[in-house]
Amino acid sequence: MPSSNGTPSSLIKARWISLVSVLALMPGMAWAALTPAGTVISNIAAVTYTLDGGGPDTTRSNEARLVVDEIINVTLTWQDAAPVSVNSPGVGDVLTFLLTNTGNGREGFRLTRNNLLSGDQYDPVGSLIYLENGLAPGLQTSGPNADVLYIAGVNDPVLGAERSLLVYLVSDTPGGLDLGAKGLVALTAASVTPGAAGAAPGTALPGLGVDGVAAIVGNTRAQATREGSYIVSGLTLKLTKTVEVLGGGEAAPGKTLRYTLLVELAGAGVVKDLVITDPLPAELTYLANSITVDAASRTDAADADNAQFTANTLTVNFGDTAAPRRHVITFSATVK
Amino acid sequence: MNAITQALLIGLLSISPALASPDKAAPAKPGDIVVTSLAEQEVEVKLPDGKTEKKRQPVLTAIPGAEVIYTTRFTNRGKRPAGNVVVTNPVPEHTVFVGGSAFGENTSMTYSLDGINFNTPDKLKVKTPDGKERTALPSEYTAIRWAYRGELAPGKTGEVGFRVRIK
Repeated sequence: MPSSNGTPSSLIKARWISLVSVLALMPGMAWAALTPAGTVISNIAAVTYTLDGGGPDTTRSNEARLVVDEIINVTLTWQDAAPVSVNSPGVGDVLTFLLTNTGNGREGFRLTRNNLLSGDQYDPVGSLIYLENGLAPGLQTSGPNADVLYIAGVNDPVLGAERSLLVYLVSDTPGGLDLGAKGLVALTAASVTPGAAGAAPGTALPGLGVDGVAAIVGNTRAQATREGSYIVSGLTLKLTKTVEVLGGGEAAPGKTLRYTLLVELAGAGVVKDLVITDPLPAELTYLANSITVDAASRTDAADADNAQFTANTLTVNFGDTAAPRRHVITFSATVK
Repeated sequence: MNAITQALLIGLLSISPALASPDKAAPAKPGDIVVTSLAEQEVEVKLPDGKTEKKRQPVLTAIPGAEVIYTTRFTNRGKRPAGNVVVTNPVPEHTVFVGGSAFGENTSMTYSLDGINFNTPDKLKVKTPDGKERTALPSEYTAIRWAYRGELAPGKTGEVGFRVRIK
């Protein structure tokens, strides 16, 4: 929640907070039970019969036995609900993907990102990929819950059958981009089983599956690619505070000061829960019922209107605010 | 006891009272009926004239989602006709019975939800969580039984089977 700090002028950057879906918060969850690779499926039939009216006799068949091969399948889904807002220039903005092993055996996946896609207005910059470590939701690049920096070929994620993992792509944004410019990044996950990624569905790789069973390339061709996008929204909140001594002259005891707060939201997109607060300095006494917002009077009480003066602090709540937007708040106080 | 053994035992128990003594379950005594079980998959093969034909071939490995055809062949190798011939086959663990796939000439087929009690599909009921009853789905069958009509004469072979899909 952006708020003023009472200084004459402050610049506050507003950021989207992306909501991670419930599914993504449960990286270990499985939703269908595929028979695990290596499982033996056995069948023995029995026949009972009688001869010459005697008691029943039974004969069992041989065991018809088959072993379940490993099927290699993988999916990626982009988890951000909308293009992730960035500033130009901008640093360290995160796209979130969910990697799921939709096969029936433990499988490793090589991750690669492609920033140079067509169909967008700019190319995001960066090579960083992080793997969720499950300690805290969302990406932490440092601290006790720091997620795992991915290094291709060194810590390729290995997922059990029908397991999922959140993968983060971190990108910077070049300067000088127009508002609304879109930047695409694609993440690819490819099975590390030799010969699997990209092979035609049904391709059999003898001995390369779990525990030496055959690996069969599934209909995902053992690889998945998904795009995520950034959008330059340039959401900036500029707060300018000016003061005027009513009747002119110096701000001396007994004089009334009229403050003007200019709230300017620039860029594109929506700021969530925009609230402006301004605590009054001890040297001033607030002039009751002096608040105006966009030239309309407001009461001091915490009530239905969007402004209040309580606990010696001015608070104006604009709620979700679409940019660009401009608000003017005024109030008065006397010098003690 | 692993699950497969358990399924097997259920299959064997279901053919009681024939299991009065264990040695009666021994295969292929002279004069007995010989039983073979075969797992196959249907594959499309291209014929020289360019057409395709579905052909069955034995299957040793398969992937989830694959359909497997189990066929039981029983031959009377003895000199006397066999009566009351009943074939029982459990739906293997990790597989689901494919509705309507059971076949067997000159047999009447019944199904089971527990491997013990067999009945026709309309009489197989499942309790729903609200205490009501509904007709069981073919995917809930755990065993199939074929009662051969009449006697199996010496030298004659019968064939029954069904399809499953690997989970």
